Amino acid sequence: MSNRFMNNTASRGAATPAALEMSAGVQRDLADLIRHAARSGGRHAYRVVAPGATGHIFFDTGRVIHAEFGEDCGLRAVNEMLRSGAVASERASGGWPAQATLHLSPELLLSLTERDMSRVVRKVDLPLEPPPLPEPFGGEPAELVAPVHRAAVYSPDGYPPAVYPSAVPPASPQAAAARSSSRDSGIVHTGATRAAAAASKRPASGIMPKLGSAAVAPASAPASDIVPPAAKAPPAASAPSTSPNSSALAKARPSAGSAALSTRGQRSSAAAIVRAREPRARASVAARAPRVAAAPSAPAPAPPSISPVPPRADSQPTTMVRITPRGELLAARGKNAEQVAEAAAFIHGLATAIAADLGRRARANVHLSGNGMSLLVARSEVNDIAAALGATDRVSSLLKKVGLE
Amino acid sequence: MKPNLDILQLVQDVDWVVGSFIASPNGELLVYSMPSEFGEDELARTASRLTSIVRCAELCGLGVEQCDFSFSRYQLVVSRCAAGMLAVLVEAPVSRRALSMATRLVLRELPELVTALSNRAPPASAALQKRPAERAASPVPR
Repeated sequence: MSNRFMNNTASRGAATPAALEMSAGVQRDLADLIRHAARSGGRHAYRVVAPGATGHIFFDTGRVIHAEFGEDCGLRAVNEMLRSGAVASERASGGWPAQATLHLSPELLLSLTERDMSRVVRKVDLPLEPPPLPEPFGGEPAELVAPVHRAAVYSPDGYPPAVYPSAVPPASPQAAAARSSSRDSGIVHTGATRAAAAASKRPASGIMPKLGSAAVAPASAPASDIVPPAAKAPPAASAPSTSPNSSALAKARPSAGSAALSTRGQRSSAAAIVRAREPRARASVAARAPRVAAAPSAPAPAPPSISPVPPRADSQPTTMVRITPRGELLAARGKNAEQVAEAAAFIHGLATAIAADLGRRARANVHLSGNGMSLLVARSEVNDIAAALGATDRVSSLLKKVGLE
Repeated sequence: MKPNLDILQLVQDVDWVVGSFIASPNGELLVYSMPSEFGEDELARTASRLTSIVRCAELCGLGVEQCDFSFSRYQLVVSRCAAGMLAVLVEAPVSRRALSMATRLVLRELPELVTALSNRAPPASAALQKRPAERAASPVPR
């Protein structure tokens, strides 16, 4: 990981302030080092050690611009350094990172990592048998809420734990009515699923309830649901487990996932809108439309912005390269990376010449597109030439960064 | 058939468009409408370089339809078709939608324009098709 980001330029910077001096063999608290670095200028790099891992941290004009620790880099590496109690052991010599991975002030960086350290660990070992309910059956629905769900700690993928009470109390008519009304409103309940799981005492799989409704749904499960789904569940009851699957998944997924889905959906729909203007691109949009419509079997919800995105397994990954202005390859990934690197060097040179001819001696960024594919050649902040060749919707975030969206 | 050289006016009418030019698929500058600060030589070199860039991208397997350049204040928006390419120099506040529509209109007329330019009588066609140093005609009036 470190080799990919390092170039051979030796670190340079102003004279080291006294606050950042590292005597030989003396170790320094990392958080303390970050705070003191905020008051200094120039470039500094330090080796960071912790039990089981080592890394480096780089400062530029008082800010942490890059960190590597084990297999992590960037904010994650700083977080791991602080979490593991790593200390800065000595000043590091050698390469300077070709690209900054952090752009946060020291105070914000420390506050973010402190917040992360104080966050509740999401993955816990749950008991094999859930705890018994505190009240005997027959109470109001609110009293029959399974404490497991209220205090639930969710798995890393954002779903509630697949553990349910061993027995579901008979629900009151009011609870059944509330449950059916909420089902009609589109909120997915897993009554049938959960009841089946309770009956068989095995974790339910498939649809997970929405986090907000999780506290209520188990208590409101009617007695008639405590049967295997194939035996007695009416079609309406079983429908939630199939048809609104996508909406349930879309809603029940953690916010980051749904944001990613909506973002990707918006991106694909926005890309469709932009491309529809071009006469030839209409054909490419029409060609792509069936692919979007043929995406996962679940029916898409009404707003197009959150329609499922076609699976990426069948699309070619984006080829990305980074080269120096002199054409030396710094990093590459994907197919035909060597050819893309050559094209990037060539195109960048011509683009710079065009900019000069048109009276603008500035960084020239180029975006070539056609048939849903794009080639982007841009000058990075650290004066490398970066290029990406792939599907246009995949490089749209890069296009936005260079102002070419 | 007299070529409709006013076709570039369609693009000029879009706000924040600085200028535009049309080049043949071989990168030869055909028609342009640019402020005087942009010389013909520069535009001819730019047209040639654009063609080279497009060919380079095609070698990477990309069928180029659109090419956008961004350098500080200006952007060069290039649209290709079989008959040639239209390059429009714009400033950042340009309305992309309006520009796109104007571009489509010009591209629609481009085959006829290129054909007319290539079929014109030698003196006029030479005036328009030959390299800038040999050309006596002035650029398209704005």
